[in-house]
Amino acid sequence: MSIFEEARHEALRQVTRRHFLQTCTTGLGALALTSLTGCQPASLTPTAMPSLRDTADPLAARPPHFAPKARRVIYLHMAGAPSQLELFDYKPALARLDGALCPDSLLEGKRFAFIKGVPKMLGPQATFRQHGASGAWVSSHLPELSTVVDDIAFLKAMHTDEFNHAPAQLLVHTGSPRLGRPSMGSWVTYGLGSENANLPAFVVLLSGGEAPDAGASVYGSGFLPTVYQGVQCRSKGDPVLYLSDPDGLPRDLRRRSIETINRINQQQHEAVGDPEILTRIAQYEMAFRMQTSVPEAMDISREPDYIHALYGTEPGVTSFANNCLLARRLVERGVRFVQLFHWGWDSHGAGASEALNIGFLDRCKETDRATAALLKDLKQRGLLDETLVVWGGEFGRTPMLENRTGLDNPYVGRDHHSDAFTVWMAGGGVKGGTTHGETDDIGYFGISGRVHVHDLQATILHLLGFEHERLTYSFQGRDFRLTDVHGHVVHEILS
Amino acid sequence: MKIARWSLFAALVLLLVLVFTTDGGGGASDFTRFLGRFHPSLVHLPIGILLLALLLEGLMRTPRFEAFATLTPMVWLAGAWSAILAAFAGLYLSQGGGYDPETLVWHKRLGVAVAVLAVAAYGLRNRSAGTQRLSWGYGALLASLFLGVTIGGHLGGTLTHGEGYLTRYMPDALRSVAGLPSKEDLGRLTLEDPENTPIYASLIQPIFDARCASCHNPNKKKGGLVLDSGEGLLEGGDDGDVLVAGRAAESEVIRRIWLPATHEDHMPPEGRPPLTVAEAELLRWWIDQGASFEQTLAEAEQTPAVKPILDGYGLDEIRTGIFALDVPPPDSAAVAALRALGLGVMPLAEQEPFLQVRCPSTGACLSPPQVEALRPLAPHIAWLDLGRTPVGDSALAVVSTLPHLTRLHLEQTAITDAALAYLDGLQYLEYLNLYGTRVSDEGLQHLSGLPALKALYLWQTGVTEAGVERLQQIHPHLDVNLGLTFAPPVTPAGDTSE
Repeated sequence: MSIFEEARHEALRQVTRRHFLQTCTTGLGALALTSLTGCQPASLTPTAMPSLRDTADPLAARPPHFAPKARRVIYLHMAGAPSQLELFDYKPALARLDGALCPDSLLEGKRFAFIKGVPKMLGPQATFRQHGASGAWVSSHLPELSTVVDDIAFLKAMHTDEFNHAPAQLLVHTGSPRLGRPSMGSWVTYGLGSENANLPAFVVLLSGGEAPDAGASVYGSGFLPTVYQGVQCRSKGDPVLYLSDPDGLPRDLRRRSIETINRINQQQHEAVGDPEILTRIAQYEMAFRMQTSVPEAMDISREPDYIHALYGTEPGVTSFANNCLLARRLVERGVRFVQLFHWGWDSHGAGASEALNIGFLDRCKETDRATAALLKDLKQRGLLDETLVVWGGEFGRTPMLENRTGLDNPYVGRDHHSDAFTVWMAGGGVKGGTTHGETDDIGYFGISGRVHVHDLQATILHLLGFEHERLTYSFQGRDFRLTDVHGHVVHEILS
Repeated sequence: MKIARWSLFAALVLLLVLVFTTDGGGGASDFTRFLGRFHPSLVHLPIGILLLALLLEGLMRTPRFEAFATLTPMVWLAGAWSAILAAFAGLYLSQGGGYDPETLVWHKRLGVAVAVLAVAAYGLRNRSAGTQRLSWGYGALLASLFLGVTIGGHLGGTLTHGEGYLTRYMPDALRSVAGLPSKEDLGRLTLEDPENTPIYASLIQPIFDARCASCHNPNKKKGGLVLDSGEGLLEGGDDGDVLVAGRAAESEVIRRIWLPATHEDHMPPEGRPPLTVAEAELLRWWIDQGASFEQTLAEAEQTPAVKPILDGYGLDEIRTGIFALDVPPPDSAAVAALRALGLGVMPLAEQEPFLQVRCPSTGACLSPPQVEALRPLAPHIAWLDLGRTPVGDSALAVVSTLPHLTRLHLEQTAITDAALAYLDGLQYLEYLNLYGTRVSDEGLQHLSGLPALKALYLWQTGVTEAGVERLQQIHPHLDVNLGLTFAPPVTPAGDTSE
């Protein structure tokens, strides 16, 4: 037989019954064995396979893995890394070491962002007192927050792997220090959907003058469908850029044009079957609805005066207080994940705005009252039970003084420190009035109850009703999840 | 070959003499104990070699593998020698003691039988070299050798690892085929008959066996403490007593278990799986109850801490409240009908039979057709969100028919004190949000009969501090939030319900 005849012969053989029964039944039997022994991997269930989902409405509300305590999250991220030694971590031993040279054992093998040579130790630049029935230590810089400590669970021995802003922010919000992964809010909306079809499910509010160092990736959707991306709303001017119709375009005409665009898209979808087209149709419709719902939600001038006094808000400007009030309004209306970024906590001491005795105090004043007001306001509306509030930075600050130039410096500051920092959580199933974790006498390293940022992410997902190992998305041939391959739920702070 | 044959036979005779003269236990010297420790490694040789010999016996009778016939005698010889040596080592190991006597007796008998049969197989093989057909006698010899190796080997595994080692993690599908109870039922079966369930034997000793006995057994005795039996527990260890009957807090065994995991005295030590919270609680409870070895489950008092553990024994997690109830999944047609009427309905979680129901912010809420559609789903509704809807007092009547309601949102609605009367009798209600409504101190009286209420929100209502005080006296653990006092009470535009 020639080679062509042989090939044809082979091809014909494969359509015989004999071939099917001999060869294919083994595979069929193996498949049957899988289902018989109950060995199906979790990723074959519809909740994990995105193509089996209702792609016509990717933001449809979905139940989590188990009954949740929290249904929404407000994440207050203090970009720049606030100094835990001046806010929550009281270290009297450090005060006694103020001005002393840092011992070699703390510097051996460590790499700092800016500190070079042998720095001096810097004592706490605040006075601390215990507050509330739980006796939590809070510094004098946060007088308002001290009144609500009985609702807060402090994680004092947080640690992370990165010591610079952008990778550390990415690690906290996306689970990896490299770009390209979806943010926490995207994962949460991917898992839970949205309770309000007229508002975006994941809203981002920025304040402090600049965007966080990692840019829009900290609230991006990564490889998840773009419908789960964080929508940045602004508290000044148009709440969402290009939201309002251009001058002279009647609303009815807008509606008709969107309908027509969607009909064309629908035809394309029927021809090609790309699920992103359905996402695009849904987004056009949502954008149209948002045109009326978002301005109403974002308009804080409708709030009574005593609420403005409580938060310290000023309508018409961009401020953290305005954003907090907006966060409460959005959460009342069913927005799933509200992320606030407040920039400016990077207290290196290289200038007035970065000094622990000047700029840092300003940051505290800008945020203290509004944070406490947010907790109080959520609580009185009965929302704190179901809303998880998280406050924290991307890493902490060193117990050593950072003096970049080495010359006489009137400004005091600390360098980046990844081994110990403080994050607190409130509401949504968290046990209030507790402290978990402890750092050593000078606040350099956690000695008990160490919590990695992945553990924080796992705990947040747990409170929302997810087993963090099962909330996955298949991409590039493997299942990804927010906590990557790490993460243990911190059960000690759960009520 | 003659020397080989006779030495083999002599070794077998020596083995049999030893087996029938020593009675296992006593007379063990350090040297024999040392030799005995080689049994676990030696014993796998005869298992492998004899099974290989059986395989060769089968194969060499086929035309394709005829050549194996020359190999088979050598394999039988190796198998027989290794079986005898393994049996010697096993004999010495058994003299060290600490093994379950019944299993040991059978394992010993089968092991020696295997050695005898292996020698016989070697002897007969030599004689009938070249025969193609398997004679009935020889076939019977091979079959009994196979049974001896497998059953004896299994018993050996049981001696080391305990009963149920093979089937412990068997998937449920195979369990039903094998006629074993499913994993969930295993725990349940233990507790189904409290009159005949001795607490120590069924609940407590298994904990010690699973977590402690690998280091605290007669063969290993860490710290001089043996935990595989009640006597060992009472005797204590090198540092004294570990058990103080009736006082768990003073018992060393409890102290060590409850230490933080990083403490150097913590038991089990690092690297070993720690006790679960449920196991540790059970131990504490048993000791506090007097650490009796005979008391049955029916006789013991179940404290609130241990009750959920016993209720959920054998299950993977402890479930409380409505989740501990056995509620069937809701009828999907009823759910679809309710959704079609405009209400938002969703399960609480993927596998939960309970639902959360939400009224839309616009449109009718709890209209008669919706109430009618709710009726078949009444036992499934756990969360009901009626906040900021036009519901009134009369529409709340349906709430009294929802036995498993845990969360109720009524904020900023037009309800008054009369509506709260419908909440009486809700056993599982934990969260009630009434902020921005016209309820007053009078209505709070209806809330005194809610045993599970944990959080109550009364901002912007007519409730006064005095009213809250009175309620707190009845419910000391209730968290009542009156909000910030400068907010004036709400004056609603009007009751829009029918």
